[in-house]
Amino acid sequence: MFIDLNSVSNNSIEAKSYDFCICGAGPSGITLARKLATLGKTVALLEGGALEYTEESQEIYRGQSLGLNNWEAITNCRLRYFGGTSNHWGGRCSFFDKIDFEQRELFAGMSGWPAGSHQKMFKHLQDACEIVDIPRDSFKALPKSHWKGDFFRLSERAFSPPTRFRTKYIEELKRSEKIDLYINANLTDIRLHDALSAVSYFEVKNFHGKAHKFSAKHYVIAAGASETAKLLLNFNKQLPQGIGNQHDMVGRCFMEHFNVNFGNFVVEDHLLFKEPDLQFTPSETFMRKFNIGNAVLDFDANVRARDFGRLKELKKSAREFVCQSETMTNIARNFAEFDCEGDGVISSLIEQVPNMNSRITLNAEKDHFGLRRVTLNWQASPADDMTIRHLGREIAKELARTKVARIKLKDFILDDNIPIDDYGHHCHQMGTTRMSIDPKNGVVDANQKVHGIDNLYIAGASVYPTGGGCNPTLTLLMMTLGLGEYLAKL
Amino acid sequence: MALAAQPLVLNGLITPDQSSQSPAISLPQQQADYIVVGGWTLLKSDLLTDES
Repeated sequence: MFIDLNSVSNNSIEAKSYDFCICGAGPSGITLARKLATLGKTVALLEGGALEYTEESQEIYRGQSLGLNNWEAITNCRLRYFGGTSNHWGGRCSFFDKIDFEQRELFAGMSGWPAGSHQKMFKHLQDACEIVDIPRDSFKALPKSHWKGDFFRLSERAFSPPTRFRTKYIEELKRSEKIDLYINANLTDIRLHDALSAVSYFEVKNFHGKAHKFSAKHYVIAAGASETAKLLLNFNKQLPQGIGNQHDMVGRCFMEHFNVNFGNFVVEDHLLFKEPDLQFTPSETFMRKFNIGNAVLDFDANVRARDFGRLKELKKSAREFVCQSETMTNIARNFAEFDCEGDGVISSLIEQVPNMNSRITLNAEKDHFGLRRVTLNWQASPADDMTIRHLGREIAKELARTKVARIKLKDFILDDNIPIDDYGHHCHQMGTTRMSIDPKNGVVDANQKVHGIDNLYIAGASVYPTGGGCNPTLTLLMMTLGLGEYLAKL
Repeated sequence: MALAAQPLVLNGLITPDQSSQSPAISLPQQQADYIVVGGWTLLKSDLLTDES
């Protein structure tokens, strides 16, 4: 069933009771609702926005950034309407390596994934692939290659079309007899029972200010890393430090994947670069040897002709003159980057280690619903810098030694004394309600239940204790399917 | 003409045992030495090859 909460002015919702109430109708919330419905459970699925993008809803995400990059993406990376951030998702899918689930020295005392996470998660790989329309066994269909590296391997990945959850699942949810989908339904408070150890109801408001009480046996927040932290910190009427925050862990260990531009390269092995989307991942041996994080290094070679307009044609001619003149090339390339065929740039997706000082807090400004907005202080650590520099230096050596390419690295890769000034990101927001066995190290337990609250769970990448070196969506879906299976048995 | 005969300004030299910034690197092919010229990581042999 489908209900626009903006059009509900009475208290009819209070008469309903569900098995589960889920806040957030992005990939995680939709996947969880569908899984629970399949297993016979009734679900209230709450979407704060509408079916389409609206400024009114998106504005709720607006926040401040004090950390790296003066990161405006806190407001715009994610989309606040039905289908969530899948509405502008790129579709690249990969998954964690086994080493990513280990308790590594790299984490400097911070806990990693609970034991058994790897097996629990990968049971759901094929189902997760079907959700995002990746053909069966796509990950086994890596391009045949003569690459014979020692410290790096070709990255395993597959591509979703990409699947827009809004388009793919809206009609199914509208028809569902088990799921009630509410839009313009904004979670504004979580009320606990008197013992403060279980949720009594969700207070949910439409954009006109009308409040509704949603009751269920179990509750799930699937609102993304920054918004989930925002909600838990704001709900402090009964627990002054916020819900799940008894150890001051909500909002901490915010993680992204660094997107560092390593520099440029010239191609030697043209055959290898004919393969689309050439990407390298460090081997486990290499990561252990240097105690560094995981990553994907993306070699984007300029090998295809492009369709230029008149002005662009002029620029192209000038560029060709520069590129084809050996003397000019050598001089000019010292001052600027030209898209000469056979050249390319190296981008990256690099693991960030959990860092207590990289965090989300609340500031004084309030949103439409009176909730304090977030301030993001995204921070890198010396361990992150070490990962970035080792990756750059060693891929440059390996591609030279294997006669694949020659790489010109940025100065900050080659020289430890030059600060890294290029911590790009991927809009992969993780951490902030991290999973931990010990409540002192995180916010949810190994079953994604909030420590200290019996019937409140968190779904999505906010529970990742570490972020690995891969795009997070497929992992998120596998985890969510496992969570649904677990919750249905309660 | 061999490039090695040209005067070169070397920004740095990274070899398996000369990198001061990282632990000793045990490369699979110990013979492979690298030289950094103007930010480019090259094989030493790159500078000795006359491809003209």
